Amino acid sequence: MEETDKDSPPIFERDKAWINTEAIATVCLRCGTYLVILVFALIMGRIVVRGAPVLMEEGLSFLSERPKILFGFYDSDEKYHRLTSQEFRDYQEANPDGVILAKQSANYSGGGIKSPLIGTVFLILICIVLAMSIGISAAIFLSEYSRRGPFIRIIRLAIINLAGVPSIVFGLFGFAFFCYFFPVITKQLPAERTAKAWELPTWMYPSNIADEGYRIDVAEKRPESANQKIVITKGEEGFEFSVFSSRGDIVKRVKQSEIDATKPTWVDIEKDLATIVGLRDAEGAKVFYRSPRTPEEETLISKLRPLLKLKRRLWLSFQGWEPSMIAAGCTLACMVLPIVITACEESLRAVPQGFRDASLALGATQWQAIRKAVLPYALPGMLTASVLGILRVAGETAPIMYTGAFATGDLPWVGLKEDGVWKIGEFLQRGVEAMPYHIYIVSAKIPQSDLVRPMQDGAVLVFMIIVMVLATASVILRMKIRKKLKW
Amino acid sequence: MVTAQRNTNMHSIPNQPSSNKTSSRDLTVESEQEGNPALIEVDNLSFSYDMGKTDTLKHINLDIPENKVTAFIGPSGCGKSTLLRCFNRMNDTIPTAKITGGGIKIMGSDLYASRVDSILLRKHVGMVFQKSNPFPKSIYENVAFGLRIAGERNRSTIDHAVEESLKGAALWDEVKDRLKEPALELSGGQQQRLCIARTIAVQPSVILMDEPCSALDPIATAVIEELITKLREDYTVVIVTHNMQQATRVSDRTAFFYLGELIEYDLTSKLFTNPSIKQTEEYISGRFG
Repeated sequence: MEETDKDSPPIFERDKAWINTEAIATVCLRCGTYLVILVFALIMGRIVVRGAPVLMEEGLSFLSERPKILFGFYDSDEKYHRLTSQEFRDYQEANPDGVILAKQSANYSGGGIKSPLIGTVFLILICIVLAMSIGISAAIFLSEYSRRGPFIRIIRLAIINLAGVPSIVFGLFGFAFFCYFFPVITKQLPAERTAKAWELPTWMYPSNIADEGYRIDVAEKRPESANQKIVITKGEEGFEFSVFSSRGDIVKRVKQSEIDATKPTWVDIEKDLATIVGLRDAEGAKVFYRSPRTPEEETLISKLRPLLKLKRRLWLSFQGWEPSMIAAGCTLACMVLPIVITACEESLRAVPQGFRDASLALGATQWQAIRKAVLPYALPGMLTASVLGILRVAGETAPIMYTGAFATGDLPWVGLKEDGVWKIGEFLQRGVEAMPYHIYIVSAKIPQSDLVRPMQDGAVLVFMIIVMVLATASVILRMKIRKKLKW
Repeated sequence: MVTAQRNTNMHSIPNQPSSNKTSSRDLTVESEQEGNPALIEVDNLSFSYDMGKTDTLKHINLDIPENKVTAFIGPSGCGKSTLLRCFNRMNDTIPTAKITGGGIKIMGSDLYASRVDSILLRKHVGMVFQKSNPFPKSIYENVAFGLRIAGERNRSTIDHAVEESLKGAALWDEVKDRLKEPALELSGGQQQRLCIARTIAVQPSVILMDEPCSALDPIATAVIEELITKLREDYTVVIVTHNMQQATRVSDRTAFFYLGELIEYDLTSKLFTNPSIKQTEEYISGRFG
């Protein structure tokens, strides 16, 4: 039996050449797949291997401290020290005779990454609010209301193309549009860079704004921009306020007796902001912008301030926000918009048509049907998919580097409290430090040395961990909700 | 897209139907004799899914009497579902759909007049779909849905309506202890009865049913058929069905459609035992379809 088996090959014998091509194809495909894992492992491995010791060493303080200047030097025992500026001062005080050798310093490399972390969180929040509200509206319109036609086709084409615009172009667009053109309502005189400004009619002012009044700044030095000037003259019946136009004509004159200090009374200035530039007493002009002022002048000014209330004015000015948190958030939102719209549309399409039909057949309007029977089931998918997209752009440097990211260790709310009052309105117009920009600064913008390296490695690792944790969390959340909402 | 597919199906079938106007006129007379006034009057209706290029429904004339069950039968793509969806203007959701001739009157008023509010109309003409489509909410919320979108806030009113509707749909005894449970945990037949309960909760005068039993097993079908015959007491029911036995079991009248035309419309007993047109006979005897 065995012999015959050997002599006559089986009918379905393998063709050797065929085996070879099959094997080669398999190997090629397999290699391609494994290459992906290799790239991932290389990136992650390098980041973890170099970042983990930094985190271990620094501990939680790496997350809870702001970036600081770092000094590195050898002492007389040839021991290397890495100290932040404060620690360095303490060290010098403790060892007044200590020898400091080969001293180096590096900006933003000491302390931790608290401020960039917080900045990134705010950017993500702004981005989520803007991108989700615009994206969901657009997706609902496109998938539920729009009818097929050339216009809708153009919109879809625009969305697809928007997704392909390079991030640096978004950055430059944001810089030009949000920082220097976007219409804003401002209390200040429209800046010189404004493209166009209109004064808002009074009825549009929020009610609290008129009562609050406007404090006239007493000029420290001769103002160049103020078009109108107030000169206060000390007459026989007290002060007299004279408002001069830029050409030097007297526009208005108000006596102190005409001003009731108990009521908000306006020194009504017709145009532009006025600045007190001078005070004349009986002897003649005394000029205020001289600094330092005499104590007598200071008391006079403090007496005058509550009397001088200007009518507050609001402008709609095409001047943009300057590089700021809100401008950067808007730019990121623009960038993520195509992803959000596509994701939201897919979630909407996943809701069975039967839900819409059933609602309509029960006498629902189209909006009722969408709100009650479509949106509740599409929202979880919309949220998770959008958050994933937003996390993706939150790691981008190019869109924020011109529009709102600053190399600073300061937290965004520093200096917002003035005279004991938080100026919340200005918060969004602050620049922020953000994680990707911080990483860019410490690895490309400051002189490189061994001093900087721990900050680079630690920051990258923390950023990667945060993004991965959030991404995983949103995917798990989606799976859970999907299980719950089955139809 | 749908239309194109339907059209090719139609053309593959031989036997162009002949005109049928005589038969529907005869029926109008008969319904008057029966004493039930016509609730829905379809007058020479033509309908197109593609802005009038091809007519899916051609010159349909029929009167649907009040408090009766009327069945629409015919092979796939014959227009019976389309006609049903004209009765509550569900075709409005299709941008290219258009009435190309004639009209429909419900309770004497023109359905497609410009001042008709299709939202209001659908509260009077409810619809049950082929695939049971309860919302992924509780049983209670499903039935209450129509009331809530109509702005009803009073809890006891809603409670009462939910109970009455579930009783009306012969579902109350099965679900009264678990109203808060998800509707999707019900069986297929129960889900379809829930959809019927949801429809009658808004107290329509007409209930349109688009092949309500096609996805159900014979036992669930029997329950729903029994329900349909009971619904006749309070509602006018129009049912589209593929199943000719079902039409004989539940309906008082049957209309046979073929290629977008109404071939024959008569009392169910007469149409199935003694059809006056040859095509009807061929269809009900299973020679095509």
